[in-house]
Amino acid sequence: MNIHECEIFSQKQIAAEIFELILKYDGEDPAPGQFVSIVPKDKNIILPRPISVCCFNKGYLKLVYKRLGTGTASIANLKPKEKINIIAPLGTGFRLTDHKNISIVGGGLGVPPLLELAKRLREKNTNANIKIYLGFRDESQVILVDEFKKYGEVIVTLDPSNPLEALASSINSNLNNDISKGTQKPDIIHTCGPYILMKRIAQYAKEENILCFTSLEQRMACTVGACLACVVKVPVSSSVNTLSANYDTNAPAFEYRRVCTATGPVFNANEVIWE
Amino acid sequence: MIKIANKEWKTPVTVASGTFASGREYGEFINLSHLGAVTTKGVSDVPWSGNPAPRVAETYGGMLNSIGVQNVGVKMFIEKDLEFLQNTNTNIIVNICGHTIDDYLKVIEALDDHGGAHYYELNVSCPNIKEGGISFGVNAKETEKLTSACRKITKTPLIVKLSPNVTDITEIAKAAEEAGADALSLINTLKGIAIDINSKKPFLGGITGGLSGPAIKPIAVRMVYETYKAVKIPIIGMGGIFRPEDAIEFILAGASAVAIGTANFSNPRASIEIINGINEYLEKNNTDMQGIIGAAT
Ligand SMILES: Cc1cc2nc3c(=O)[nH]c(=O)nc-3n(C[C@H](O)[C@H](O)[C@H](O)COP(=O)(O)OP(=O)(O)OC[C@H]3O[C@@H](n4cnc5c(N)ncnc54)[C@H](O)[C@@H]3O)c2cc1C
Ligand SMILES: Cc1cc2nc3c(=O)[nH]c(=O)nc-3n(C[C@H](O)[C@H](O)[C@H](O)COP(=O)(O)O)c2cc1C
Ligand code: FES
Repeated sequence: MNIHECEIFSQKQIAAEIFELILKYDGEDPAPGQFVSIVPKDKNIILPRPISVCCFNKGYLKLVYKRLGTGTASIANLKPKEKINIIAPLGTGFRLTDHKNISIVGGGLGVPPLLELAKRLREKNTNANIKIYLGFRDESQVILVDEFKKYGEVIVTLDPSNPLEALASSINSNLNNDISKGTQKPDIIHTCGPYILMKRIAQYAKEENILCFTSLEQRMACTVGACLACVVKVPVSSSVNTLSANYDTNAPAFEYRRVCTATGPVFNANEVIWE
Repeated sequence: MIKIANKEWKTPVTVASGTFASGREYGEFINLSHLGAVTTKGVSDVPWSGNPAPRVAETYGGMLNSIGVQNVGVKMFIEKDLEFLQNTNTNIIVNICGHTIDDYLKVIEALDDHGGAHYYELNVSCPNIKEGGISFGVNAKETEKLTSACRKITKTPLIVKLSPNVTDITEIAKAAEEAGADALSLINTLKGIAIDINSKKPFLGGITGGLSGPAIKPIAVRMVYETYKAVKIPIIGMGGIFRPEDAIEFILAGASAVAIGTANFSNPRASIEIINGINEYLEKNNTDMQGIIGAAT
């Protein structure tokens, strides 16, 4: 990780309040699921803003974010050729394994970091069966679908009243369909989205004994591992970063681990205490 | 160049406890040996798990934190961090916390047994469980008892870190000085609460949090100013220092050195930029640190 002064290459709105920002970036290559932290130019803003890497191509970094409060509003005001400081790359991303049957599940603003993942998984294994489930509240929130189509079969659900249910039942029916066709269950699931979505996917993975990786979010201050703000609960015995789908059924004692460094934001779902 | 308890500091700038861990992370951005000292996160005798998340909330011009001094305990600290710190080629200030006087003493003994540090900084803002959970640092008598107990068992210079959540900080400062403190550091965070208007509950997992950042600077400068006039021992000033000008205000109010805390978060190189800015100011005014410490009082 380092501080980089990056020039804005382009910025455009791609959905309701959702922006795509492309930065010129010559730092260390980020892994899928890693994030950057943007140092706001507005001196009244005290903390840097964590945003996931959506896509990386040599020299360029694409970020997709929603304009919510003062920090993201100031980022949305950036114009091409302006410069901004970012700290990057941060955290530990998704694991690029050799599994053949891969499911990727994204909900809402959890979708962007999965794009680089899908791309890298496809590059790694041209024969892999990659299914990408993306759920959005409604048409106005849909992002990146065409880009995902380059890397796998994309199944999109839209449901303003209950986006989680819609996504879950689409996953279910697709899986049942697959299994009845004699195809296999996924060997691995990667997920990012609202907490309740990831919790649900983690539960399903546990029942089916499938390896599952999940990208967690937490309020941050330093974003670099120094302040211990960004913690989630993990079992005390947790080895973290293993590639095992062995689920411990006893409710273990917990400890707090940071989301922003060696242990996160991407966790093995069986090493998270879901609340 | 300044001296605190007879030890030389290359520059009058350290970092504030809890914002910098043990220096490993920010050591990727700056050369730690350029700091006058590295101040560690609070260390307790046994591991503390800390408070539930969320642990931070941004506020106008500042932030609230309720980390709850999560730390691995002195044994692991010695194993994992002490040697790293001893090789940083600068002074080490180990910040110490506890729930009883005995807790503080155990940490000091363990550290002294392993080569120790240049200074121990006593975080007296921790709740004192023997006195109903009220922090040591809001009571002159308790501050005095804690400081003199620590003084008796170690030769390592002691810095007492004062809480601003008091009516008269000079009273506590004098108690610490009389009990044998070699220096004072101030201020710790101010107690606050943020409320989530959607859930209608306190936002932080720890309910209350400590306010830091530019919002607290004028209070911190005032407290340094008052304390400087009340004691003879040196002061390390902190609270919302983001720019060199902020640091210089603290020095003019009576601080011999300053600590950079929250500013590290948005600018990991803040401490170095502030060192450079202080040097430029001294050159421009054709003076040195001795010429400006307390000059505004
Ligand atoms: C590892 C990680 C990756 C992220 N990736 C993306 C992404 O790719 N796209 C995207 O749109 N958003 C992403 N987020 C969420 C994004 O950081 C917040 O939406 C953003 O910080 C809001 O800032 P604000 O000033 O606009 O909002 P405000 O509500 O004004 O922010 C106030 C404070 O709360 C913090 N905060 C607010 N919401 C969140 C949140 N959901 N998570 C963490 N901190 C928050 C802010 O950083 C700030 O310190 C990510 C968060 C994390 C932790
Ligand atoms: C996230 C965070 C953690 C902190 N942890 C400690 C701690 O463990 N011990 C301590 O004495 N002070 C701690 N503090 C207080 C700071 O050292 C400092 O006194 C205070 O933040 C004011 O300085 P600032 O405004 O420059 O941050 C912490 C502050 C923050 C923001
Ligand atoms: S945000 Fe500081 S440790 Fe993660």
